[in-house]
Amino acid sequence: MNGTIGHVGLLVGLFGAVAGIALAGAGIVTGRPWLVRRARTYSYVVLFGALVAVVGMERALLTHDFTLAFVAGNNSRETPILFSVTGLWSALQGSILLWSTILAVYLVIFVRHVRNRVDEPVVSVALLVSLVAAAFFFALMIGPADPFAATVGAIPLDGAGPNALLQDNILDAVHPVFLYLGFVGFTVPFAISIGSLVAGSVGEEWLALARRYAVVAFAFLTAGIVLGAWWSYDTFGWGGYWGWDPVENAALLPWLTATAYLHSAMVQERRGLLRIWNLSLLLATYALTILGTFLTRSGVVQSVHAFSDSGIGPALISYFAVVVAVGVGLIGWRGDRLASPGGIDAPVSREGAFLVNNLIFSAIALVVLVGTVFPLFVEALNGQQVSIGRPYFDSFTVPLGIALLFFMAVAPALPWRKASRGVLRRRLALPAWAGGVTLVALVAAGVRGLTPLVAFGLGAFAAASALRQLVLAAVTARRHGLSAWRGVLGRANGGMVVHIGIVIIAVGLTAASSFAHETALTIQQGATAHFEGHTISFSSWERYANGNEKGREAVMVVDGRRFYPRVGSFDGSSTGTATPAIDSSPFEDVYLALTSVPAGLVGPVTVDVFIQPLIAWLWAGGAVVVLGALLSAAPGRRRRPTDPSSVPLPELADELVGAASR
Amino acid sequence: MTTVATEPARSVTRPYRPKRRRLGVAAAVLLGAMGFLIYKGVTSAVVYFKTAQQAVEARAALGNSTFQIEGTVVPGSKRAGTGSGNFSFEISSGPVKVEVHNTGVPPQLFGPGVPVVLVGHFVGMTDTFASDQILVKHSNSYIAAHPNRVRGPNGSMH
Repeated sequence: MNGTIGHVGLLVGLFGAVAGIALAGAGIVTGRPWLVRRARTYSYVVLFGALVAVVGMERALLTHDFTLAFVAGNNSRETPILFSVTGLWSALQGSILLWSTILAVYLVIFVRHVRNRVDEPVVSVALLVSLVAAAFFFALMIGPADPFAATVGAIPLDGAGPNALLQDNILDAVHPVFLYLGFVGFTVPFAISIGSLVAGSVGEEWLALARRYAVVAFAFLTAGIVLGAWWSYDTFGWGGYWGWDPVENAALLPWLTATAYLHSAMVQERRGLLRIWNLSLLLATYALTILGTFLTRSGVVQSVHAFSDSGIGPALISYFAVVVAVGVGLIGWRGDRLASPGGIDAPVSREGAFLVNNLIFSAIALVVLVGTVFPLFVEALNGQQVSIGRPYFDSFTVPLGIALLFFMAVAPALPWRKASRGVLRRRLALPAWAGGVTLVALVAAGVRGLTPLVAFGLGAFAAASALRQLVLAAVTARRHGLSAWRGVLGRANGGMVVHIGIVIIAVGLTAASSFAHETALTIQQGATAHFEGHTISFSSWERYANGNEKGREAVMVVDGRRFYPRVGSFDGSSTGTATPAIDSSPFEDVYLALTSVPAGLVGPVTVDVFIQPLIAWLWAGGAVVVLGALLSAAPGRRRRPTDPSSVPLPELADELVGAASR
Repeated sequence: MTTVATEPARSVTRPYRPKRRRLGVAAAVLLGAMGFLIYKGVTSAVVYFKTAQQAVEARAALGNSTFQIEGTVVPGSKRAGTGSGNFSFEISSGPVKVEVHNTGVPPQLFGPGVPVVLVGHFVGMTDTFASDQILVKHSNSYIAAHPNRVRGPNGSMH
């Protein structure tokens, strides 16, 4: 029954996408706009199909319908309702269903955004491209990644249940959704850039629209990455949050290129420069989301996340190849026609700084990409299995990250076109003092180490620089009779909030990697140990039961506070899962993880103890970045008509669209 | 040239091509340097992955270099070592057994019969492996006791 509902939904979705492609394609080729307008409607059919399939799957999960292989493998009768619901994306096939559904939602939002302008070549091609993407993912589910495949053989009385680590923590229930909202969100900007290339027009207003989608996708992707890191820290008991694992890199790569794009897009909107570069970044971002999905979902790269092997590898890599070939081909074909007039006047200018920013982000992306795919090449060439260790990634990203902090401090103060020494001195004096004073204060307080001192100093410089911009924007808003809060809205001002969030993350990262302490302690019952100024004692072993989770925990006291590090299992499974006990504060986390539990619950406890300074800043900084990104997606203060501009104001464009539709 | 010139006028009057060529050369040099650095970095950071059987077969070639070795902990082979926290055990893959001296903290799920991946190197000319990190492989869940590659026998979650 549920399988039938699901298959019907998938077929409806695929039909909607294919019919839309046929109509839009025919309309574009024969020059009949009414056909393209008709194709628009089919995006609703795609969404309807996806929702029907999701309903089928959720119904199957909630009613524990083990006739479906996916449910039998990822659900059990004891699974709580929440984790039954999130079971949809707990394994490959369901994840593809989630991906397709999110894509259908974005598709419908895009169609509504441009409903009256589908006759324009950029939009009609973009619609076609989005429908092709949707058709591909629905075809995946009808082919190699069928979420509704029937259980082979006897129907089990009970299912295997979700992976223990996936029901440990609510963060895990949500972080994949954010990641997918981010990944899939780059489909629309990608479609718009393909549309621009095919139409041979830059369509600055479409670029503004692409940028807005990219900002929203960026916000979701950031949230997904930070929540994923937080979950890893909270669940895995290794005291860390980022391991340069292929799955993590797969999420980071499109984030890097998208971040580069969000900066260089401003150069295009303001000066009309870097057009081809921006289109390339959007194409690369989308291609990297597909490559990342291929790397992590096809089983070619062995990852700590060990997602299932599946038959979707060849399909995904072919799709990736098509995306890259089409993108490169179109840029080669249209490159000259779209090339920007003029160039950058002076290296010390806002656009010069954006260019450097782009080079650094691209360099980091290249480093991460090479480190991620290099093991694949080695294995393909000589059959050797290798991995690339953390030192490789750190040795490049740390200096590049520090360079980014410097440019983040200086760039907002640089004027467009050309900077004079006087202007720079006036604008940078205060932030530079903030950085210098911070540096001196830290040295006086006994902080040592070149990298952390440089990072903290530059962080203060960059944060002060961003704050200065925000204060100025608020003052300007007041002067125009608006609320000061308008000063944080809009592209550049929201961007400054993002900068502050990034500085907070950078400080947290630096502190956690430079000043963390780790040890393994074995403590007898009733005894006390000391580590880094903390008093740690072990009271007793206890058994606990918590819903469908049962296990054993050590009762420990650190500085008067009780800790319960645990090892437990779900639904009586033999897979033990350790849950660390963490006491978090803005300044320091104390983190205890059991390394083993003695048989019979007698004897000493052995725990890994981590003292992590400022690690909470990572999560807080992530929240600030997301907030800033959302603020920058909101329309900002109108530009004065006398300001130079190469773009119609977005508000004005919206009004024009509105007037045209009335 | 004044900075207030309009775009089209400037693109006609400015000496365009030499500047562009210079930029191209600078970009090529930058890209080349970056490529060289990345190549050096990545080739020196390669860590090989061998099963215990493969490692013993390639003993001579591996020398004392660091690599990852995979095998199953032989039940009853664990013995306390000389230093605090040190211990020894054997891992097996196929017919081959390898003696391991470990100095790292074992993850929660370490135990007899558990498939593990160890990071370390062979000691001197012997077939004894010095391990400073133990990763537990698990067939049906992903164990991230340490952030590194963990290979499930069937690669699957379930």
